[in-house]
Amino acid sequence: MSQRARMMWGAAVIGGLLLWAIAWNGAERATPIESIASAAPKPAPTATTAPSDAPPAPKLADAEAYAKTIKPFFAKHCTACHGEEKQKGKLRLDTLAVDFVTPKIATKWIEVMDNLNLGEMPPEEKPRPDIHAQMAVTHWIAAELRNAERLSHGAGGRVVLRRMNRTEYANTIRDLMGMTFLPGDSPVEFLPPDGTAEGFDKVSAALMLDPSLLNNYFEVAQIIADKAIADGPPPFKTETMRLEMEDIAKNRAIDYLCATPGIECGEKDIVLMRGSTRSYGVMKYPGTHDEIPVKGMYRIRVRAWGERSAEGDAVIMRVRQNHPQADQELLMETEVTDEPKVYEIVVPRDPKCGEYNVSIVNETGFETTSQAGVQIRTGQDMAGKAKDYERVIRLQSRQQMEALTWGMPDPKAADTSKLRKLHVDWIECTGPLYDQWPPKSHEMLLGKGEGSPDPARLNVIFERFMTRAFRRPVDATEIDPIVALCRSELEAGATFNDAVRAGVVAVLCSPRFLYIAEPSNTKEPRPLDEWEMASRLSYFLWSSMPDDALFDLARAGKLRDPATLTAQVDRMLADERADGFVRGFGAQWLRTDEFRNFTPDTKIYKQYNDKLGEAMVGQTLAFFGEVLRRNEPATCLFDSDWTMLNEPLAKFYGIDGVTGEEFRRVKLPADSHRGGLLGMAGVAMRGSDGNRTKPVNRGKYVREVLFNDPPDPPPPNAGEVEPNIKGKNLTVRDRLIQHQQIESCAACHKGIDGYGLALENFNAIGAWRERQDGENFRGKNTPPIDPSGTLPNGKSYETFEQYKALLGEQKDRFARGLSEKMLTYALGRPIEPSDRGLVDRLATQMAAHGYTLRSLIDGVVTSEAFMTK
Amino acid sequence: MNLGKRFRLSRRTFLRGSGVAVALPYLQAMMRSSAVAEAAAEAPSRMGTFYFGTGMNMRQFTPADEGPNYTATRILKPLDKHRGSYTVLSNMYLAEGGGHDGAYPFATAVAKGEKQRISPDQIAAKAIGGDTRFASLQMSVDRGTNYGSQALATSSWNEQGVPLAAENDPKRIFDRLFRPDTPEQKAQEKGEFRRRGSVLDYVRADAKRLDGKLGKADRQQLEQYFNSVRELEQQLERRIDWADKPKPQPQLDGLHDYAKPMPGPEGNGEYLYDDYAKMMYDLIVLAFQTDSTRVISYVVRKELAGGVYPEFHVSKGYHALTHHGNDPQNLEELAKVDTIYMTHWAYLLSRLQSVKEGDGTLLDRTVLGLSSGMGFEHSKDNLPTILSGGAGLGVKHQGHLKLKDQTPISSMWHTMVDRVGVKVEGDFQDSKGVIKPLVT
Repeated sequence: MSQRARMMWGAAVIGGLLLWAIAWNGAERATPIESIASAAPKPAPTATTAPSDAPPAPKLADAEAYAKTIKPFFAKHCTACHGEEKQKGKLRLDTLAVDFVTPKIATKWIEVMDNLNLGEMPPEEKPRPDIHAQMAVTHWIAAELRNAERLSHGAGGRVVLRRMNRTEYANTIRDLMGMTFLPGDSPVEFLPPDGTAEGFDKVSAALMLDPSLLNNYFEVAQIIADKAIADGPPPFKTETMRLEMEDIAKNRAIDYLCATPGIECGEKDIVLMRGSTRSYGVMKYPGTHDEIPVKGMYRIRVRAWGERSAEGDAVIMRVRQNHPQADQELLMETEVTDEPKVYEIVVPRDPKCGEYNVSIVNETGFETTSQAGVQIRTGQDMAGKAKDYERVIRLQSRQQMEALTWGMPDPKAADTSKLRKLHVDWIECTGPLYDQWPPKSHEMLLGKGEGSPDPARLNVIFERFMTRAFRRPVDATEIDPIVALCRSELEAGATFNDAVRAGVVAVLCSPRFLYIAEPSNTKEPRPLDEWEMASRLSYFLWSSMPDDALFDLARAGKLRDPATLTAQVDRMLADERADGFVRGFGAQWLRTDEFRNFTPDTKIYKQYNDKLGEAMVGQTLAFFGEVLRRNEPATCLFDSDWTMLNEPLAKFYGIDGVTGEEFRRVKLPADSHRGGLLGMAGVAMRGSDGNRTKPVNRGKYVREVLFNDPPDPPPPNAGEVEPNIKGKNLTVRDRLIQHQQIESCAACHKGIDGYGLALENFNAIGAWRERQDGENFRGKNTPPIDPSGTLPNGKSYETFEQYKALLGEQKDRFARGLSEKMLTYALGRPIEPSDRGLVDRLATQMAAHGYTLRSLIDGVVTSEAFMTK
Repeated sequence: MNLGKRFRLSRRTFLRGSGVAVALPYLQAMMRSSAVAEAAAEAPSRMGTFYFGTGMNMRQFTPADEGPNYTATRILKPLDKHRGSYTVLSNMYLAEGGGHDGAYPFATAVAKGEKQRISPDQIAAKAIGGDTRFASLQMSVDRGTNYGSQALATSSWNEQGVPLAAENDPKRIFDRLFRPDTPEQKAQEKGEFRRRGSVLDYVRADAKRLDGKLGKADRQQLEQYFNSVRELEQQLERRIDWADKPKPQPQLDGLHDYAKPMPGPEGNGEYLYDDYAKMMYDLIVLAFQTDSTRVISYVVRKELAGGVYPEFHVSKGYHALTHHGNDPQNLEELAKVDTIYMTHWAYLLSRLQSVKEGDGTLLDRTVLGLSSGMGFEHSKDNLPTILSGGAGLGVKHQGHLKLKDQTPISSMWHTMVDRVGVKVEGDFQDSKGVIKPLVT
């Protein structure tokens, strides 16, 4: 039986199983499915796992299709030149092995596919093959190639040992050691980026380890161990530095401020109508020449209040620090009340920062252009150019006598009583701040109350530490070598703390810490033990190690109980560590890292800036998080009457009433186009090259992300939609349709372009447009956007909204694609033919539960595949 | 025979003996004045491989005519002063390249997604890297490996087909090569060696225990861990071996001082790329000159990502430009960027040539190959390829050499490893032989 036939047989059986195996409880939650319903599980005799006698490692692909479709095609069109008699280009097709795994042979198949797609074979003078027959061949080759790639990433449906990726590493350290990291200090910064396979950084095949990475692990572990244990009091104690603003008048370095128009030095405060006040030289950390002595957290406080303008608008205050990096300068910006109030913020800072600076953002101008000044200066320039130096000198002396400059005091600011005023009483900095001392990590490792540095305690210390680090109980044979290592350090003269540090480094470099190990040397899949279940769960939903609650359940032997599992999913998703899932699964599924691949040409797209770009990524992640946490249907991705916005993005979308950088859920106006994933600017920007839109690329995104159905690869040198030839002004759509005059191109594009053309209403930065823009389209009379198209299923749409509705009809296809992706992520392995039944069940289960992500997650964690090694 | 004895001092012995190491590595003093030619034969061979991602504008790269007196094209113009020291190789081909997957097969001819194999620089390192502080150096515009991404950060693969992480901060590379350890660091180093040794012992034993309980696929995966431990042990031995030998102190007259950290130039507005490029190339010269290493790989420009800097004054990213669509401005800007990179390449050649070694120059004993993972318009043929240096290793330069259509890039690596003394039996990757005109 061929592989494909076996898969279909499997699916049919599964369909039958579903009828009796799945008992719904009618509530919004899915009931766990069949075989794991017993607490003492055994590999269930369903078709979801590969039959043990036939590990799926098919070198010979779909032989039936080959015999039926491929061979006849070759015989008809190819073998006259590439057959027994002649082998033009050293290529012989009648004997070409049906093998997509051996690189040399696979390369030949790619050649065949490419040449057919390019229309280069059969050569021009020969009869054209029927386009559908040809498509069947190229499609078959592409599918077999993909299958072979998946096989190379997998191990016959078994989960392969993998190391943590760097995000998991950093999160695990955070939870294991009880440490928090300042920006730039996280272990992530010290580890190289990870590879990906099957779209995720969770698959063993891509998570390689090389000597330099192990060396990195060693060095990071040393940094962590140093920081985790404190040898004495903090190196810098927490101090408070304060500047009373009335002292400025007495400070010769900065008393000039009091003489500046628009600034008044009061007896207890300073009043700003324009500009800023500063802390020059005053707020240094005691005993140093710097504002702060060390990187750390600092509390900044300012006592201030405002006087509104005659129109009644409030005063906005900005507090900055000098810093060589512009993005590190802003400390806080806020509206101030009319009553004195203390404004406070706790921020990470590094010693590169300099003095503080408080300013009024909505200041009043105190100067206006001086016409006389401008005239006299330009007069000098002109006289100079005319070489009339006598006149230059005359004008110069007049300028000096009358003290003329480009500007002069603005008479409108003469009466200061009506102007907005910011009163600042004082500014203060306290730090470095410590949550506690010795740090939490110190207590977690060595125990509270700092017992004596007694080598006898090493066993206790490391039993506790290793149990958590290895995420399972350890016995004496495992602890003893570490204790021996520490003792040998002591003998070599190390302090007790340093000896413990050496032990910590060794544990953190051990394969049982670095790898998610599920030992199994049997041929048969085996159920996971409790501890392994705890780790699978926590790395799936948190990208981190299990917490005490999971460990407790594992110890009590309850983690394989389906009810417990779904309760844990609830608990874990409610925990803030579930952010690891949003940034792990959400970001990689929706490809938010690619949103900003091309920087928009800001000469054409003036609205674009980095803040907006960040907000685009933030919106999509926040949307995913909202769907996850609020149990919204995942089909919201097709369309929704709400979205997640912050101020920059809301402004960009033309939606009022959203202030601040935080994302929040906003109900969309009825006529808004911003519902769902495809209405998000980031998606549109990803599918653009900075100048113009790329409908084909967008269509590919829709197929890959929403349906996990990547189109066949383009032939080499397929090129791009060309820019306009001089004198012509065709839209991207026009040019794309031109390209499709070639029959072999059109055949493929039919399956892609229909998914992308509807998005033409979004320009290269994702702004809504109804007329062509970008490239060289300027002015008002540009051609109108035509977003119409036809999906491969034959259904046509005229507008973006209709298109969204058509996609929304394909919920089952969506649920299948999403189930495949989620399963890949959860298991860290590619989907195999033997997973087909499970994918079907997950998709069905999602449909029955309103397409919530939670119903899918429940289905995944209670599945046979998740619970076995 | 006193002189003869002095001559036979190995470089390593020499460095060990001299309390303060000296700028000139291959000291004239080490040679018998009457036997300079002989001495030159003793001077070490060096090799470098260079990756310029995302191809080049080949319309303005490939000369129309052949031979030593070819007519310079716009992009090659900056190299003119080095005529005779390099050969432009046309018709170079990367069977598994093109698109943006070319960084993977670049040095190994193995496609992205396949199990990789050892790269030519590492083959060379095994042959000629044994006597130096570092067997090889991996340099790049980006750190790490980026394995999995098309924008691979390294072009080096070890014997197990594992990518070797590259470093992109010239200061860090400089520190590793030259920054003398303070007495405090020296004291710490002893403890570190001891700790490293015991940690490695521990983790190897631990991995062994784990290994016994694993299935076949898991064991294969853990093999990478064992390989890494083994490699780190060897590195540790090498470090201990070299610990008491002071690092050489290069003369930095007129060069940058490598005092400030300079994490990769991408998206970093704190310095000019021009400075960065020169500092990286200077490091190569200094490393060879002081015989700190004899093998270097350098990803000058990653595939797909990055490649242009504000000072280039071009309107788009490099990748965006390669999708030129025959837009004259795009093509113009591409050529402009390529020319900048070639200006830097000329700088490297000048620097190597300025260092005298025996009766020749450092460039004579250094063979450098540069190319890309794609040609023009994302093709797998027509790769921008230049072989430079190595006259003293028997490379006969031809100016512009037009090779047979689809000559695999591996034939350049083949030629290079052959010149630094690696004996290749039979084919080298998909190369059937060295590039004959370059060696005969």
